[in-house]
Amino acid sequence: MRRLLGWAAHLYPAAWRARYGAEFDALLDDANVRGRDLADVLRGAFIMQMTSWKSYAKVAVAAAVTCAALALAGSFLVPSRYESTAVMRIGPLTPSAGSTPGVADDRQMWRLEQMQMQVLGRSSLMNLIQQPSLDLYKDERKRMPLEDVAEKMRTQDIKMRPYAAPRAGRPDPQAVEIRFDYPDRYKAQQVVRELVGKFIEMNLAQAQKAGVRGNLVLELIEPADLPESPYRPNHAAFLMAGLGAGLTLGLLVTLIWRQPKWCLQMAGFIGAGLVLALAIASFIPNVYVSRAVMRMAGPADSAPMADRLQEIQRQVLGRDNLARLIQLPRLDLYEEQRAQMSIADVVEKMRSKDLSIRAYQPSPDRHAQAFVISFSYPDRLKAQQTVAMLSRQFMESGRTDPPGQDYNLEMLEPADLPQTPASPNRRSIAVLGAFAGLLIGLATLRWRRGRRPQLTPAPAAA
Amino acid sequence: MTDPTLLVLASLAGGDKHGYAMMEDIERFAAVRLGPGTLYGAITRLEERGWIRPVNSDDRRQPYRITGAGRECLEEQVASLDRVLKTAARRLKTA
Repeated sequence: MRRLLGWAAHLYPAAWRARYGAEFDALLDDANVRGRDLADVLRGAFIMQMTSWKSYAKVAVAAAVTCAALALAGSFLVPSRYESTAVMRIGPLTPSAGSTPGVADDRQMWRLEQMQMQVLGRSSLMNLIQQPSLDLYKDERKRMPLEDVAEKMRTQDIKMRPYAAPRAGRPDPQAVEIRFDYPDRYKAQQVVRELVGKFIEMNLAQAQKAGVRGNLVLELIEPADLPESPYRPNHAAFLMAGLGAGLTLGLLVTLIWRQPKWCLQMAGFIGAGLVLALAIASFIPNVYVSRAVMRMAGPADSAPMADRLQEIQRQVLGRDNLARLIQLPRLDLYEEQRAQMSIADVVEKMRSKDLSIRAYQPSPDRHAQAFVISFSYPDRLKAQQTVAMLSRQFMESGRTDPPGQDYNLEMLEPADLPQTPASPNRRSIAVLGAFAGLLIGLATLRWRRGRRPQLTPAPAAA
Repeated sequence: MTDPTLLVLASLAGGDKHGYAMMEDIERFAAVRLGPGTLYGAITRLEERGWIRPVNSDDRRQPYRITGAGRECLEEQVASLDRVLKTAARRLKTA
């Protein structure tokens, strides 16, 4: 036991050991030391270590190293994910007179974006997920709606971007790569194959429909590969994150240790700011946004798309039509506002604030345009129903084209049922509240310190 | 009544002592055994505040002495404790 206590005594800071080490060892020799004295000496060493900023830096570094080691060990428990990649190239079979070889023109990129919108659309991905040979995201489908799983797949797991690898000494601006990451490497490869197949099929279908068969060709430069090694988890990233978190934690602990009262007061101000902000946010009603994506396309000799689209918009978003929609018994929108203002004012509010129709992307083609209808409303079901009704009206209006002006209006994404409110952003409000609490706390404590009378210094040693 | 700094001051009020002697003395008069880490934590704090000081010695065992400021502080604390004890005793009698 004495030897153990001697070892524990070495954990005291060097400066303390230089001053008290010899007499402390003498005490350990004299005293009839017991098992619990070991804990007492360890506790004493820890307290002594926490008495200077230099010691705090040591503690922070020790915490950083410990957390980094834990994070690295934890990274080996994270399930592996594999990423399969394929590269496609879009371009004219025979370049037109004005085009520069090897340079993607707007029309090519726009065609690709249009196809991307459909191939990576919700319904397309939902079909892919449920395909029996793939049966993707089994666990996620048990705990969240299929629409959300498709959204996660599109936004997090599928990546489509210009091909950056140099080819023949320079990047190929007409090439795009499509990546998909998934825990099963065979399924990752299979999904990329399916997506590429859909792009090629769609390109053929669009070329046939637009009467430009053979004008734009989509070729597969690199087929979907079978990934050999997982690309995640990134052990180095885990290590760095652990190091950063440990350092922060260590500094925070030392700050709390050195200035416990100040930290407690600051925590009170931050907590009060957070609670107040959340209380205010709870009074702000939720607003849900439902969206639908539609596409209108016409033959090359038809009138410009914008004119026809505006005409349909005028019809569907006309005051009379919206007033009728608002008062439909199954929707019964803006009940409270209708009690306070005229229906004309309610329609104006709906048109100017809550309802929006905008181009999905600027189109270089005068004869095709995708657009998004969105509606914000506190009731998510009513928001969806309103968008569904409006998009249906758009489709019906599109069918009454004048002879010879055969526009094709198609629904790319039907009205979705929003799961989470678009506003208020309670997380941001809470962060702002906490930050405001921090600032008020800093100012208050500084002001109080300035008003406090100076204490007389401790008497010097005799 | 188990504040280590108060116990050390009380022990040194009876004369200069080194660590082990203080440990023994405190165990005798307060029935509290201070561990080595706790005892030297209290000694370090008291010396920093100027309430005790080391006495010249050739031995490995370093004796300490209470200073004037330390005695003053101890007197204040004892007076305060005395007030608390007397009040508590009086209230117990009348209850």
